[in-house]
Amino acid sequence: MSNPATQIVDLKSQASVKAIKTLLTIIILTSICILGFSSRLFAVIRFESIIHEFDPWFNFRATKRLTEHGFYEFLNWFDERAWYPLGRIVGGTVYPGLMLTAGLMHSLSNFLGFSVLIKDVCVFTAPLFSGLTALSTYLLTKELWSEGAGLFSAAFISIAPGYISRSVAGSYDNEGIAIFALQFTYFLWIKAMKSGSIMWATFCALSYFYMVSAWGGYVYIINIIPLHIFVLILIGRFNLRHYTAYTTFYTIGQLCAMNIPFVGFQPIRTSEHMASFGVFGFVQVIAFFGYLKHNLGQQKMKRLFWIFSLLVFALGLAAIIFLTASGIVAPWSGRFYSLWDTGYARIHIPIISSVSEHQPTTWTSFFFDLHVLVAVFPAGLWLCVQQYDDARVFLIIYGVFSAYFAGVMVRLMLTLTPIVCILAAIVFSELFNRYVSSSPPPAESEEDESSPNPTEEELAVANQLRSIVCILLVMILFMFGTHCTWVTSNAYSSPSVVLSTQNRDGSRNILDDFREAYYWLRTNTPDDARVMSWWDYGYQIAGMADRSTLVDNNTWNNTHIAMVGKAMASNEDKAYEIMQELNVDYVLVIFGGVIGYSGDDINKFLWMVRIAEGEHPDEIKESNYFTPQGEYKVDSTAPKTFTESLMYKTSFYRFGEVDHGDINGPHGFDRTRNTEIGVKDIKVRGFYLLISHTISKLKHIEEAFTTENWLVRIYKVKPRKNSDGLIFQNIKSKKFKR
Amino acid sequence: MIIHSLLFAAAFAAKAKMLVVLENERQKNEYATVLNQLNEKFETYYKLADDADLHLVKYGKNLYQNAIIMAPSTEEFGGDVKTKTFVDFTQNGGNLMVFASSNIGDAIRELGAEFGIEYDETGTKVMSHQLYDFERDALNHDHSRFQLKASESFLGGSQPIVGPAGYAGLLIDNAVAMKIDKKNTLAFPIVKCNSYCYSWFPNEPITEYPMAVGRDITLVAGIQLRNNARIAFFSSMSMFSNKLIRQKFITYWNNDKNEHAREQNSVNKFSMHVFGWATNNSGTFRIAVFKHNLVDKENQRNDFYYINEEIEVTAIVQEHVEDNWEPASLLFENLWLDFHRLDPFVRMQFENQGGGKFTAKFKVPDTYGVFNFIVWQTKLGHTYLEHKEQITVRPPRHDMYERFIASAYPYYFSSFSMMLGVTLMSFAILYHRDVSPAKKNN
Repeated sequence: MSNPATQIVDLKSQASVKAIKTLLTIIILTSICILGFSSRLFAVIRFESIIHEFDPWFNFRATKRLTEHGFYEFLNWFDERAWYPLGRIVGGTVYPGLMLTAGLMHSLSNFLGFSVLIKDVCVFTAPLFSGLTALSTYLLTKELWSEGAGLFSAAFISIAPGYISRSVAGSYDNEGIAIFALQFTYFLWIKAMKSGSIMWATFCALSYFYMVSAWGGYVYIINIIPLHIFVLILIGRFNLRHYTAYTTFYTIGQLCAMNIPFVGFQPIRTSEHMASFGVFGFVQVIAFFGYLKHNLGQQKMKRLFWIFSLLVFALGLAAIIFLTASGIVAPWSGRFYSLWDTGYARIHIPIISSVSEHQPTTWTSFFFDLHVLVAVFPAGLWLCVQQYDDARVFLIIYGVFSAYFAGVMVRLMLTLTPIVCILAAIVFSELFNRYVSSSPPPAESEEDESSPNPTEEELAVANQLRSIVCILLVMILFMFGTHCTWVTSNAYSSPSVVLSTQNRDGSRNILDDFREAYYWLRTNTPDDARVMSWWDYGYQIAGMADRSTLVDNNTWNNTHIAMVGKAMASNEDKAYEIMQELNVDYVLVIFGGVIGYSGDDINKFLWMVRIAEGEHPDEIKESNYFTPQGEYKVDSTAPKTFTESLMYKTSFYRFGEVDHGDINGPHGFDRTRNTEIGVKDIKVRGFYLLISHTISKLKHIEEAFTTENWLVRIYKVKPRKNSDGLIFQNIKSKKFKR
Repeated sequence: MIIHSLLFAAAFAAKAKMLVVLENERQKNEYATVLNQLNEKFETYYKLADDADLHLVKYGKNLYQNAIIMAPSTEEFGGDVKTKTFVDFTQNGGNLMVFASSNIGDAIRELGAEFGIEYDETGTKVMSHQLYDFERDALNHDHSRFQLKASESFLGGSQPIVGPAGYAGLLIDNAVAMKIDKKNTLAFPIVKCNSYCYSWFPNEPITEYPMAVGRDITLVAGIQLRNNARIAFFSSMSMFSNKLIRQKFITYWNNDKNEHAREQNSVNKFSMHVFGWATNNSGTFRIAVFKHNLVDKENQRNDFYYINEEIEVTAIVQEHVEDNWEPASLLFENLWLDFHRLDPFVRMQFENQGGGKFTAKFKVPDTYGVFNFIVWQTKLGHTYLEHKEQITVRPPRHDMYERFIASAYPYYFSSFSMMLGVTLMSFAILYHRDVSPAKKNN
C-alpha cells in the first residue's frame, strides 16, 4: 500500500474497511460452514448414505414414524416391538427435538418441491447443524471476546474431532443438534445477562427449550447458568440486569421444559434441577434486600442482609435435603453420581459402566480429539481470569466444569470441545493480534519499558521474531487441520453397521454382515417373532429387521436386561426356561472370532454376567466364568460354567470346523482373542482326532442363519418336544437280576 | 399304484387308517371280536410282525393314523420298523396301542422302554391267589387268570378313557407286570392291580423280592404326548381274546363263605372305551374359534386395547366324535383363561354357555404392554387344550384423559386471576404518576 493511502483517515474509508470486514467475515463463516459440512461426509462417500451405529437407528425409526403418521401418532406411539413384553411408550420417553427437526426439514424440503428421502434428511441433519454450531460459537465468542476470536472458534469447532465424532453424516443422534442448541443458548444467555433485557432472556429460554427437547444434556445448562449467577453474587458483581435475565430465563425456561413429556415434573422434583431452583430463590432474596437497602440506607442493612441471606440459604438447603429424604424430590440418579465418583457405576450400576462411552477418559483421547487446542486451553482460561468481567466468568466456569466432566466420561468430551475451541480461539486470536499486526506494539506495553523508542535495529529483530512466531503458529494450525481430517476420516467415519477391511493391496473389503443378518430376519421370520439379543443390538434389530426385541439401547429396565443376561450366562436348559417364559423365538449373537472383530458378544459377555449377577446373585456368579487363575479365556482352560453357557455355545457352535484356510493352523482359532477355542465338536481331521472335553451340541435351539463372515449368528428356539416329560430308558444298560 | 391308493383314500376319506400288527394269522380268529370292533371304525390293514413289508413311516410321514401292535413275543419287527420308528410315528401324531403278555419279546420290551414303561422278565406273570379261576387253576399254583374288581383297581374313572361307571370287573389273563417310571410325567396308569397281586414265575419258589407287587403293578397304561398322540400299553393280550371276552363270568372259591362264587367280566366294554380313547375318538377336543373384542357394541375394535377397557372373549370348543367335529358335550365342563404378561394379570373361568360356547368378560388390567391370552388346560383323558394369542395393551392417548378436572379449578382460577393482576398492576405502574417528588420539592 502506498503511504498516502494509509495516512488518509476519513470516515469514508473507515466505512469501506468495515464493509470489507463484514464481507470477509461472511465469506469466512460461509466457508467454515461448508468445510464443517464437507469434512463430515467421509462416511457417505466411503460407504453410502446410511444411518450409523445404534441409537441413530432408533431416532431414524421414530422419525420415520413421525413423518408417516403425523405428530400426534408419534406422541402417542406405544412401541410394542421394544422391550417385549413390556413395550415402550415412545412419545413419553424420548427427547423429540431431533425427530421434529428432521421431520420439519423433510416436510419443508418436500413442500418446496425437493423430494428427499427421510433417510437422507436424517443422515445429513448432523452435518447441517454443525454449520449452525459454528455460527453460534462465532456469536458466543464474539460476544465474549472479539470478532477475530469468534472466527477462530468457529473454524475450530467446525473441524474439532471431539465434536465431529458425534456429528458425521449418518450419526443421527441427539448430540448432533444439541451442541448447536447448547452454544446458541449460551450465546443468548450472555447477551441477556449483559443487556439485562427481557427479550434476550426470553430468547435464551426458548433456545433452552429447544435444547431440552433435544438432549438430556440440558441439565448441564440448567446448572451452569445458575452457577454463573451464584459466582457473580459471591464476587459481588451481581446486579439488576443479571436479576432480570436470570429470573426471566428460569421461569420461562423451566415452564417450557416441563412441556416435554419425558421431562415432565423433573424440573421441580429432581435434585439435578434443585441448584437452579435454589439460586432462583436466592436471587429473589438478594433483590429484596437490595430494594430494602436502597430505601433504608447502607449501614443498617449490611448486618441484617448477611444474617438473613445466610439464614435463607441454610433454610433452603435444609428444605431441599428434607424433601429429598422424604421422597418428594427424587435423589440424584445413578448417572449423576457416577459423574462425581468414577467407581460408583462399576459397583452399583454395571449397566452404566458397561457402555464404553461411559468409561473415564484416557489422556490420549484428549489429544486425539482436540490436538493443539487442549494444550492452549489453559492459556485461554488464564486470559479470561486475567481480563475477567461479568460475562467471562461464565467462560471460566464453563471451561473448568467441562474439563472435569470430560475427564470422568469419554462421552462428555462432547461438551468440553466447544469451550476448548472458544478458549483456544481466544489464545490464537490474541497471539495473532500481538504478532501479526504491522503497527507497533500496543502503547501500554511501550510505556512500561524503561528505554525510550526502540531503535530501528530492534524493530527489525522484533519484526523477524514476529514473523517466525506467526509461521510457527500457522504451522501448528496446519498440523491441527491435518490431524482433524485424519482423525475424522479414520476414526469417526465408520458407520459400524457396515465394516470394512483393507486388503494387502490397499483395496477395501466391505463386510456387510449386520445388514445381511437383519435382512434375513426381516424376510424369513414371522412378523411377530421375538428376537433375543444383548441390548446393544436392540435398536438395530427394531430398525432394520423390524422384529420385536426384548431389550434395547434405551436401557430403562435393568431387571429385564438382567434376565437376558442371565439367559445368556446360564446353561441351555435354564436358558430355555427363561426363553420360554419370555416367548423368545430367535437368539441373535455377534461373533467376531472369524474376522477378528473385537466388539463381539464374547468380549461383552462379562458385563452380561455382572448385570445378571446384580439381579440374581445366587444363580450367577462372575467368578464362575474365570479360569482358576482368574483369567477370562475361551480356550481349553475355560471353566465349565462358561463353556456350557448359552453365549459360549451359540458363539462357538461348529466353530471347531473352521480352519481359516491355513493348513498348519489349528481348527477353531478365534482371531479376536487369538486362541484356539476349548470346546469343539468332535471332528476327524487329517490323521488325528481333535477331541475336546465336551461336545458342544445344541439341545433346545438350532442354528438358523450365520452370515458370510460369521459376524452375526441367529438361532431358532425349538418348541418343546412332543415327548418332553417322557423318560427314555436305555434298555441295554438295564440289568436284570436273574 | 399311487393313483389307486389316492382313489382309495378318497373313497374312504372319512375313515382313519389303522395298522394291525399280528404275530400270526391265527390271531385273526382268536381276537375276532376285538378286531371286528376296529374294522367297523377304521380302515384296517393287517400285517404280520415279521413281514418284510411292514412300514409305519415313510419319508417322514405316517402311513396310518393308528397302529395296534398285537404281537407280544416278537423279538424283532420286519420291514424297516425299529423301536425308533414307533417314536417317530407318535411324534408325527400317530396313535399306538401295544399289547404285551407274559411271553414278552425284546421288541415290545424295548418299545416300552422308549416310552418309560418297564416290563418284568419274560416268563413272569402277574398272579393273584384271591379271585383266580378256580375251574382252571384249582390244582396248580399258576394263578395268572384272575378277576380284578373294578372298585379296587380302576383308575379314578376318567370318563373319556374308560367310559361311564358301571364296571363289574376285568378278567386278567397271562399278564406281564408293568411299571411306570415315577419321573415320567406323561404316562399314567389306567388299570392297576389290587394289593393281592405280585409278579413272579408261576410254580416257582420266590427267592427274592419281585420286581413289582400289589398296586405297583400297572396292567394298562396310557400316555398322551404333547402333540396329543395317544399311546396305550396293555400288559395282557389274551384277556381280549374271543374266549375270555365271551366268558362273562369267572368261578372262584370264596374263602369266607367256603363256596364257589361267580364274578362278572366287563372286558368288552373296557376294550371299547379304551380303544376309543387311544385312537383319539373320545376326550378329544379343540378350540375351534377364539375371538375377543370390546364389550362396547358400537366399537368392536379387537386389534389392540387401551388399559382398563372392558373386553369379552369367546371360545368355541369342539369335540371329535366319529371323525366329525361337533360342539363339545357336557363332558367338557369348564375352561380357564389367563391374561398374561410375564405373570398372569387375569386368571378366570369362562362362563359355559352350553353347546361348547364359552365366554369371559373382564377389565383389561391397568398395565400396558404386550399381553397374551392363554388357554392351557390339561385334564386326564382330555386332549391338551392350548391357545395363545398376542395382544397389545396401550396407555391412553393424550386426548383420552379428562380435559378439565374439577379439582384443578382452583389452579385455573389462580392462574387467570394472576394474569389479570399482572395486567392491572402493570397498568397502574405505567399510568400512575407518583406525587412524592412534588412533596419533596415542597
